[in-house]
Amino acid sequence: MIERVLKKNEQNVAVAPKEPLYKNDAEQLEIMVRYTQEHQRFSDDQKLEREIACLHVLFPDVFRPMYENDLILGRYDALPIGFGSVTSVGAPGHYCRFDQMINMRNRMDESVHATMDELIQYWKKHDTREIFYKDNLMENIMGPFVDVRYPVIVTARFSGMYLDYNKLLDHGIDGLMRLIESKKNENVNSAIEYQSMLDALTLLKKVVDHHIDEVRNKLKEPLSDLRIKQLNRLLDALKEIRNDKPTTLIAAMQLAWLYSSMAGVVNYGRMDDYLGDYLVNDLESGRLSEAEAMDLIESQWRLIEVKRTNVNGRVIVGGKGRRNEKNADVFCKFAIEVTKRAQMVEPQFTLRFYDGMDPEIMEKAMESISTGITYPILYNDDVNIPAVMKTMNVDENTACNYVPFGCGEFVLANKGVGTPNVCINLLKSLTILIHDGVDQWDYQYKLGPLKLKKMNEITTFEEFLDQYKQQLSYYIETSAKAHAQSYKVLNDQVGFIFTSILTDDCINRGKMVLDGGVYHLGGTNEMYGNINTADSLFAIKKLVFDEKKLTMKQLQEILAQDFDDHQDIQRTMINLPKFGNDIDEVDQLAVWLHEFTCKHVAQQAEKVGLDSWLVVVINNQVNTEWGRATASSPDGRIAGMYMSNANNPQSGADINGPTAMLNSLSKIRADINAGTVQNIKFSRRMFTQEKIKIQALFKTYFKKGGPQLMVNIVNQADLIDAYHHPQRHRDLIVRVGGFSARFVNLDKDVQKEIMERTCND
Amino acid sequence: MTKGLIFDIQRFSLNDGPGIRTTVFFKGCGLRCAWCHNPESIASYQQLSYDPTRCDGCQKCMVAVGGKGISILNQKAVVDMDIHDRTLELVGVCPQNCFRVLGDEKTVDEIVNVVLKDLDYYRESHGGVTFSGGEALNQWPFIESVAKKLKEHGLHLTLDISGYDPARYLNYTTDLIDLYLLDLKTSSDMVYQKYIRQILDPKQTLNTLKKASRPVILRCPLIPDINDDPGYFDLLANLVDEYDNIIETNLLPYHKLRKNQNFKLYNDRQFFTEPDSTRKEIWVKEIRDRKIRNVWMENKEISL
Repeated sequence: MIERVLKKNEQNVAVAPKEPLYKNDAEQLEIMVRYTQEHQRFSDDQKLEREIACLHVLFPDVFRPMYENDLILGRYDALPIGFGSVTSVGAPGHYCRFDQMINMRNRMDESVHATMDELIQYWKKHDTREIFYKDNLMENIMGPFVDVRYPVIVTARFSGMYLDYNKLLDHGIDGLMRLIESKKNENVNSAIEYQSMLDALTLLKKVVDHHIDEVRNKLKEPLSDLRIKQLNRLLDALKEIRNDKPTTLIAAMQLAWLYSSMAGVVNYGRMDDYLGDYLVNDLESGRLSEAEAMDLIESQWRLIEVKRTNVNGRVIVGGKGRRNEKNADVFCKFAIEVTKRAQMVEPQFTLRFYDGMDPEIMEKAMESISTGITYPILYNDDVNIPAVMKTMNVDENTACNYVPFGCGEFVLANKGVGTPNVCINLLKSLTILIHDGVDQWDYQYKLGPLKLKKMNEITTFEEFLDQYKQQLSYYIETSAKAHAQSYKVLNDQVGFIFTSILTDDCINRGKMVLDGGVYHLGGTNEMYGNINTADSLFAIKKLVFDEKKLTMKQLQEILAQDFDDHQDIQRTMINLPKFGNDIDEVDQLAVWLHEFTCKHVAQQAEKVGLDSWLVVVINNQVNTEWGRATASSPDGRIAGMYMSNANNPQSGADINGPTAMLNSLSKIRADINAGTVQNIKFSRRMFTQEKIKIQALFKTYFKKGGPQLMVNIVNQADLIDAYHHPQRHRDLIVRVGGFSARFVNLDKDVQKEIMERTCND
Repeated sequence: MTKGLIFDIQRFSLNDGPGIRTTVFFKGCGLRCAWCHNPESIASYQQLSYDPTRCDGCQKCMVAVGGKGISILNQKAVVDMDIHDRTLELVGVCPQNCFRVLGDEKTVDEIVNVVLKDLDYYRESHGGVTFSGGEALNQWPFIESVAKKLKEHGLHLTLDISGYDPARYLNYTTDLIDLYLLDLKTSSDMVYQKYIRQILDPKQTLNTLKKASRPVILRCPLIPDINDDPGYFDLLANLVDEYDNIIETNLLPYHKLRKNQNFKLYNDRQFFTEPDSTRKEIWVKEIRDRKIRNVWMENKEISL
């Protein structure tokens, strides 16, 4: 047995450090104690009253003061204990970040340790995710997010909610309150639900008031004429939105942003759809100059970036189904310009495009990409809308509102839930199967009650695949139940009141989002290691069954020894054809694996009571982290090495050029899942000198059914230099998978994985 | 001819004609240009190559040939490629994959199938297929069969030639080929004799192509102090002036490319000085002085 050492993984995906919180430890502790006391006052049966009471503790206290260049306001600090939706800002539901609490405890004076210990003890029992984990993990099979020792990980989170900003802006706060009031008589059994919604909106007013006061106080200080003008404009906007619907861009942005902050959502919807009219009105009436509008958008981008969600912070522009396409396109172009000039890691700026779109938009998008910013990420409506109609079983109008969130999972904006609460490592699963159930990473048996054939009994590749299918089916079916259970736990604990107000059809039904309120209750399952698995299956087929160079027993032994003394076989494995070269015999195994997993996952939805449950292949850096705890595989990959990102070829394995790579990718069906991501990397020299041909390359790929593309323009030499001398390349941005990051902030093995991806030059 | 001998098929080829292309490189060439970028393309048969960087000194190759032409020095095999030019069996002997066969025999359908995989890209980018070498013209009867099949799909076809055509195939190509890439190697018979081993007259080729109304892109490999004399640019100016079927000229600055492989050389492979920016400026000036239209260097048009 080989002794394995696992590099520690953070509880959550975190790449760039966040700013330190504004409040000091004692102030934070005081708030957290009050929060906990409020939480204790109520039982689970009073979850909505409890949520409101807890939110009252947080808001508006957790907003930090404005920065000197803020043109809109709302900087929200997530404390170690609080309320949230996602792991990247706080955590889902009523949460306690135990890692942060322990750090804080260690920093603070002994006199408060007892208090902190009590808090920790209390939240061990009441943290929403802990409640879920208590009953829903399975030894050696299903672990908590992200415990890489398991082949399957589950969590209870509420990622990727996109709110109905049009409803918010069309009505204003008072208008929304009137709308809710008017429904009280229709749904007489929902009095508590409606009251909680009204209470939430009253709290929103309080937050607006807080910011009005802040601006007024600021105006008493000595300020430049420009700043006075900016703040007066802001004051007018805040005063307007306190009750009424916004009439200007700044007011609309301000209302949407404060609302998002309080809801704890970290993706910001089809911004050109809900802000386009305001922008055009302001420009036409002369209220804003073009330069001022750009500054305003950039200020919004700064507020998004400072949240450092890493894998979230999506802003979507473009695409079919916007209310006023002409005005939306104006906002879209401004936003691309700002993204290009601001060079920020977030927002994850996303362009949906379609045949017939204003060509100037794609032109501008390419210019932005050529600067190396990696944005916009490109999504192909002509492929994705029909796919969403099919996978989510919705009509075209509804499907037009698909939006990728986080790393790229599709969800129906303001109508759907699609959080990825399950992840499966296909490659780890395969290595477990190869060794008759024993994971060569930690030598634990991980097939649970399954009765599969021993490897030495298997005589054909089809028989082998059949065993693998049984194994994956078991993992998929087990985790589907856990996913459905995660919604139940969340719903038992919280109402997500702010999110519910702006999610169809909660107001009409008088129900909270997870209590029957949402129009489409879906979910997603993140698959990892797909391409290494396809390459490994090909190696098994070729070496064991077709050419009979190895027996399964020999394969087991060689892999168990991490190829020690068998480098020649490892080399043979590495030199076998790999996915990404347009070679059908390998590509077809990737196609098979994708179709099998997608179909089997989708079939579970009905069984566990969801409207859809869909595969996503949208890796962030977990492909590297999970690779660290995945044993040696028949594609020649040694234990601990990263796995390929999403559906992309193993780094460096695509040697037939970008047309071959894209051809391989486009063989993988896009209409049976809820999102895949594909990376392509060009040198700056090639991308600028061969712009027209590269655009033709992309266009062809999209016509062939490519759903998505993320383009990274880098100099390979810069990456290598940055790997060795990070201090010289602080600004180098790369696309990892489902998110972009400053290269120097990534772990070394993640950096290596990116460097070794093929760069077209 | 049922099979062609090729040494590479390069997809997403951007510098051998318009748009996105696939370039098929044929093996075998009658010239011996000392600066040849692909000396593995010269021999017109399958030959052995050896990459010493992969060798771990296991001696299996030495044993296989009974020590003839292979010795071990500093834990690496030293292989006499003149002796083992055609010892293709060594490929299967080496566990490190140090040996490869240069040259692959392919049928018409095999080539057509690879090429057609990128059909959609050619159509979108107004690209197509380029036959290059070595000297592609030498295998014209085979290429003709490939070209006919590709023409069924309406593909734009380019032929990259040196102008050396001992079998006189060029006349037969013009019905199928849409564009020619023609080398202009030197203006001096002495350079031809010393560095190329054949004297060529590009006008002969250009006359044939002009008569057939076929467009030509002139390709000018420029090797500092070897062929970049004023006489060269005079000749270029004359040709561009005289032949209106020359639609474009590409200056190709010499660069050293060393691959990690040894094989039997058929040319006097020499390494020359790479041009610096001053030298490139001189070339630009030579073009401007002569007002030669539509000349490109490193993806930029030289403005007059």
